[in-house]
Amino acid sequence: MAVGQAHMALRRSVHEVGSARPRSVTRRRVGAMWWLLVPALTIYALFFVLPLVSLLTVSVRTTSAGAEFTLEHYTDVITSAYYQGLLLNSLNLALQVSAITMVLGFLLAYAFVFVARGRSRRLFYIVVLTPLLTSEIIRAFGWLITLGREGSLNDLLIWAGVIDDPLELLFNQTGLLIGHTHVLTPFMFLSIVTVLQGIPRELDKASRDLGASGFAAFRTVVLPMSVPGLLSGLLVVFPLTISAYVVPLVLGGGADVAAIEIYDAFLFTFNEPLGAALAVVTVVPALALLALVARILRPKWQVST
Amino acid sequence: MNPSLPTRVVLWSFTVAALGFFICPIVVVVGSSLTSTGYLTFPPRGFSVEWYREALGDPRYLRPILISLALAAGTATTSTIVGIGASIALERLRFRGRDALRALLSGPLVIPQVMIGAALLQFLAVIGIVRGTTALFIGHVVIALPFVIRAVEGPLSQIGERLEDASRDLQATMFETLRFVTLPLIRAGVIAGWLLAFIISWINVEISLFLMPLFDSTMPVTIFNYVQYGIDPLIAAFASISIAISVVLIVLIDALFGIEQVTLSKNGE
Repeated sequence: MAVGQAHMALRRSVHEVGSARPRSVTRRRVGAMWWLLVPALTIYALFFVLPLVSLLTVSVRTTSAGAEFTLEHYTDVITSAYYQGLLLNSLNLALQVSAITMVLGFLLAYAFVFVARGRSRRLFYIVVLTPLLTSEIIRAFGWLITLGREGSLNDLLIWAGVIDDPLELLFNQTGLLIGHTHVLTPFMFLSIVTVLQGIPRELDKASRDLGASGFAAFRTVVLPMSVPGLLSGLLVVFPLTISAYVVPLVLGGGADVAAIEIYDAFLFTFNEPLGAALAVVTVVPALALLALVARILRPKWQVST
Repeated sequence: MNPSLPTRVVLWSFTVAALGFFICPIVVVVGSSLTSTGYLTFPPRGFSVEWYREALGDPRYLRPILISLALAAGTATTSTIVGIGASIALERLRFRGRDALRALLSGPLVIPQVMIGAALLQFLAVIGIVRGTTALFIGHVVIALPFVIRAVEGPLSQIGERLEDASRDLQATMFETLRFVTLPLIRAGVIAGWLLAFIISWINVEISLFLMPLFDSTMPVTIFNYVQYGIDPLIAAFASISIAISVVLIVLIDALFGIEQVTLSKNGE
């Protein structure tokens, strides 16, 4: 193999040249490597960190260009019944979606890691991954066609005689749940698969040898060890749901979610401070809480081999 | 673990249903685009590619395709060049804040796009970049970078430092080492990173909505604006073109590198 040959050639050359370079020269050369980091750091500092800080700053100003410090936007958001409802809505939705995707994601991940073999395995993976790599709006579009009152699903069910009247599957909570589940389950799947693949097979054999039934082995070995995967999946799914824009707008009928309000604040009513405050109130607690939960629970479930 | 036969049967049935669920909307969109009727229906009636002809022949739809292509290519190239350097530096340099820096560079994966979009919109305006192609490009690079870094990280940690050390011992400069030793060895990760970054830009909706110019759209945004008012086979054909590119890239990544290797990280992150 090419790498091996290159390696051998270099080793021979080193022998011929003689002793290794002095330490100081190596360190100087390695120092030059820092330059490789500069473009990425610049981009992040300038176009990621700074804008977020700026957003925070805007949220405590009276108006976008205003120079006064004020917490009025935060109090507006926190005390208003409308915004409270909005946030509770988003939270409620995020919890439901998290629960659904955890169950679905786990079942799929288990099937993928422990049951699927050979070519079907590859197909399995591609089918789960493809939605992630097509545009969210196109997936929502597909559900619009399928779930509408005169959509394909209702047509099918009525034709088969299963129902008489079309089901209301769009522009309500149901459409939201279907849309979100579709978008987010692959993320949960990926997180759990990574962890499940790391479980040594010997553990299962050992527990069976000790007399555990199949289900007991699953319950005491596989399930606890997959918790880190569930958690990191949650870390992805929860923030994505709480801040989702496309699915609530297209499939939820412009449902009351934070992201839509934020978008409107920035692009229609031009109330940037309010939008910024809303964004902070929506996102920061969710991320902080999840990070905390992850840090507390993760050491408990760490596997030592 | 070897689940029993009944368990396997149940799991497989569930899996088939779930997989059907996942490709359902995509199949429906593509199927609807092939109808010969003037209205959108699935399953399609008749078979016709006239809607593709119409979409590609109309500048209002051709233009977003070209814009998205150019934007994605630009984003992919820029983030790949920047990302390679960052990934190499992160892997090979040992310093105290390394893990923290790694976490920071993963930031765009964690912070919701709504927040990034809003933050960029108002910040860029302050420094003089209003909504437009430049702003859009910046936003796309920011969210694509973490993917490139991750794609390159894998091969980098796999090949290890010994060859690079040896090359340096032979008096090669850092750039020579990079060019003749490191880069050729991580070539797979680089290409995979480029392709991933391309897709990320190609499909992006939320950030694009914030940063787009007023009269020019990317493909996803065009679809977004369209379907809120009505759906028809024309937009289905347009959307199917987007799907086709996604699928081609996915198949390409899989054929070249195996999609599992590229998208699943080895260390449980």
